[in-house]
Amino acid sequence: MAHVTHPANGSISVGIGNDSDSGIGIGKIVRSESHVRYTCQVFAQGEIAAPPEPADYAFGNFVRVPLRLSPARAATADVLMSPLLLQSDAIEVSPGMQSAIIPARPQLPSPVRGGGAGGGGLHTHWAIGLIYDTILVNPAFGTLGPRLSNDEQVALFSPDYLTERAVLVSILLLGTMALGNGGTVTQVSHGIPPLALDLGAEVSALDDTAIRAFHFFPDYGAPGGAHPYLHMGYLPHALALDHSLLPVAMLRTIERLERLFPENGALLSIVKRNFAWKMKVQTAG
Amino acid sequence: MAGEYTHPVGITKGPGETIHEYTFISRDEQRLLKNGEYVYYELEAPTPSPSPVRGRGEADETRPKRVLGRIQHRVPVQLYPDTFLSEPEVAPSQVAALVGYDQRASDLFELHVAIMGYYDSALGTFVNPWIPPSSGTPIYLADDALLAGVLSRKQSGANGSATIGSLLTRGEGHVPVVLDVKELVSTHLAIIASTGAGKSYLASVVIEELMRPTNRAAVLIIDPHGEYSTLQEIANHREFEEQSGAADGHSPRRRQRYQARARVYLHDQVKVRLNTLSLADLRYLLPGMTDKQHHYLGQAYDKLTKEKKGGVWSAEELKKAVIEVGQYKNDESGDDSGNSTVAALSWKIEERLGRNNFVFDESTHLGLREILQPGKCTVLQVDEVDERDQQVIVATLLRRIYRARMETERHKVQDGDEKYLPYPVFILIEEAHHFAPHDGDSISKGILKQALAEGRKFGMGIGLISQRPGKLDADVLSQCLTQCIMRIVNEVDQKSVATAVEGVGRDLLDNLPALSKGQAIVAGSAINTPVICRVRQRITPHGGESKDAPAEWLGYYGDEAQETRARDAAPLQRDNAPISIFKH
Repeated sequence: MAHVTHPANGSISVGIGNDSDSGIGIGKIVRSESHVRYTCQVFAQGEIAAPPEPADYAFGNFVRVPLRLSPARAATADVLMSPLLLQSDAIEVSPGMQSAIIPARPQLPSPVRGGGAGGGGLHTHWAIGLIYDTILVNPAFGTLGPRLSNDEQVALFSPDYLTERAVLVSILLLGTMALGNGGTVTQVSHGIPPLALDLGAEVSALDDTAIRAFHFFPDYGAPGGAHPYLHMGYLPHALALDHSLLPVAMLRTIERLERLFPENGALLSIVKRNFAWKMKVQTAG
Repeated sequence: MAGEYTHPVGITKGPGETIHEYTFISRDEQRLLKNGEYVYYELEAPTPSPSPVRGRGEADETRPKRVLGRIQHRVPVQLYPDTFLSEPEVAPSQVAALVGYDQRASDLFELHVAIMGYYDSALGTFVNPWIPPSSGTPIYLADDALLAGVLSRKQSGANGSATIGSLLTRGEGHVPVVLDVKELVSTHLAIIASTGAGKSYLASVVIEELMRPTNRAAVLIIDPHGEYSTLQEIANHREFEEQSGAADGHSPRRRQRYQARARVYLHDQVKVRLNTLSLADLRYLLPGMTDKQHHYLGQAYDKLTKEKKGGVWSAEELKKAVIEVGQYKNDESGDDSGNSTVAALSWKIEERLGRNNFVFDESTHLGLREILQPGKCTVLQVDEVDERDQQVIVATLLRRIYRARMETERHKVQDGDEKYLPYPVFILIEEAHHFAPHDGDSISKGILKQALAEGRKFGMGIGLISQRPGKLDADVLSQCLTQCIMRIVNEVDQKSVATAVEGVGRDLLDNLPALSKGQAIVAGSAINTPVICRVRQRITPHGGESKDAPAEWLGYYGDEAQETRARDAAPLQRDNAPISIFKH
């Protein structure tokens, strides 16, 4: 079931509407381990004007990656949503997918008009991900002998060597967001996005406003009805993946949401307690 | 609740724990599938008709057979984890929503159904298909009309029907629970409940039904607590009368109109003249006699009846006859060995038939046809009599009625005879465990057992009411083939009901402690299948209310009561005054 609200209710404007102008660029997609797990190579010194600092790609940070979607496709089929969700009203739950189309005219199957948000070059559809692992790549590792040249000499005589050193971060896709005119969030979905990321797609950090928008939206299928409420629809599938750091990343996310949504402290504390018990007490016991 | 349900409420999962059970899965969003609710599936492949549920009963032969079943219990298939319930202010559905689960689809139940079978209108009974439904068979909720057509043998309002209430799981009055009065009277009734559960209320409802123009029964109530006197009100209600001549428009003469009557007799108004007692009656009433005593009594009885030639005689005269027989025997044998027998027999006669008894009299007599008449309900109040005398009253009455019915049916007596009782009767006995206790003997137990065992042949129906089935004789209870069981908390009583009552399923009996006041499990021969019934409102006022002790205590200190007491106490002081003056 597609969930639609009136424009006045759910209109949230975030600062990610103008491509990569806002949001700190972190790196680019270089590899994938699965449909939802990607490796991003962090921009190195000299690669872009303002390379990211380690705090920008820290463990547990939220990132966004643009999705390649032509305006025509975006208008005819809502590929950001699960097809199941749109076909039948009888199916109220799509496994692993929780979504909302936020400000729109109710009858429209999809409010997202592709490039309508101010020009063909602008990205309006984003995959939202979470950094859950970091790997430092060093080709010189294991070469234990002393080097004859110092760093400046290396930079001067064999610059290739420097570019082979890299920081890789693992990203888990949590859902998608779509933006309308002026950077307004028009659609949010949690779960596995149907579209894959492109190699080389730029990964940017997500600021707190955008994180709030990604987590707080109305969902007509749920008890809150038209009222926006807190979502963590990606939690089950994130935990289902077998990676030792993912639960820790999720716990960090819960803690971050507790800070961002203090009014939902009681609700989050249930998930957090349950989670912490399983992760810490049961694991240690 | 709407009368018809055309959509399936669930889908069969598979067979249940026993061979006559199956399980089905339902979301049950409307919360219709209560415990005890009736559902059905269709035995054959459904016809292409878009609406599979129509009409009542199984009259249409072309329609697939609907196999009814009763929901025994429902088990939620999906429950929230305990940790979701850790914060009292946060609903678990909110936590589920947070992690992306839509609450509306979370309720899913596995329902266990006991198969009753499809109703065969020719046989008038449910026929078990002997095979559980296959997985995937749609399950429908039985609609009110279907249930009304098959649960009860009689339709509400028909001749010989007693509508005592309606099905508990449906709206009040939607599915009437109708007892078949013919079965009720011929195979007896038991009403069993803890005190305060409404057993005398239900009994009064049954009596009201029996007194309706559609039944016009001859009813006698043995009332040890004086709870049934309000039944006299039936003479003032239109429900118990028939409009004169209205049914027969072409008859110019007004027909004899029917009006039910009720009369309360106090224990001292029901007298039995001694000379109506047969020798067998006497022997029955004087239990524990030796052979010699039996012989002497027989001789004395013969002597007395010959002398009196059918005239009245008293207990004194019987005693005198016994003494004379004793004297004669002594003379015959030449010793005084008969004296002790005579003394013991005289003592027994005095004890049971002498001046202090409540039942027997040498002259006054209340005829059976005065007590028992079609359309008349007689309440015999024995509340001021001790238990032993109550047993004598009941034993004597039952014996007289039994013999009268037997001899009338066998054409041994004619109109005008004391024993002529030419119609079936129904006798309701309150506190039945007093009259047929399971431990110890009571004079009424034997005749009660006999009447229950053989009354069917002679049209003598018995209704037993008891709050202590554990104390009631098990044979007596098991002879009552229609049972109305209300709330029973005592475990001993529950067990005795479970063993004595074969017709009620174990699953229904498990509901006994959960029943509220005025709800009863009705089972047995007067109904097609056991049902849980909500007893209807009485037409006549109820007389069995508990005393409101706190209100009466408060009333004791009311202004008026205090003034009355002060006024009553005042003259005593005046009486004392002269004495004190005199002392001066």
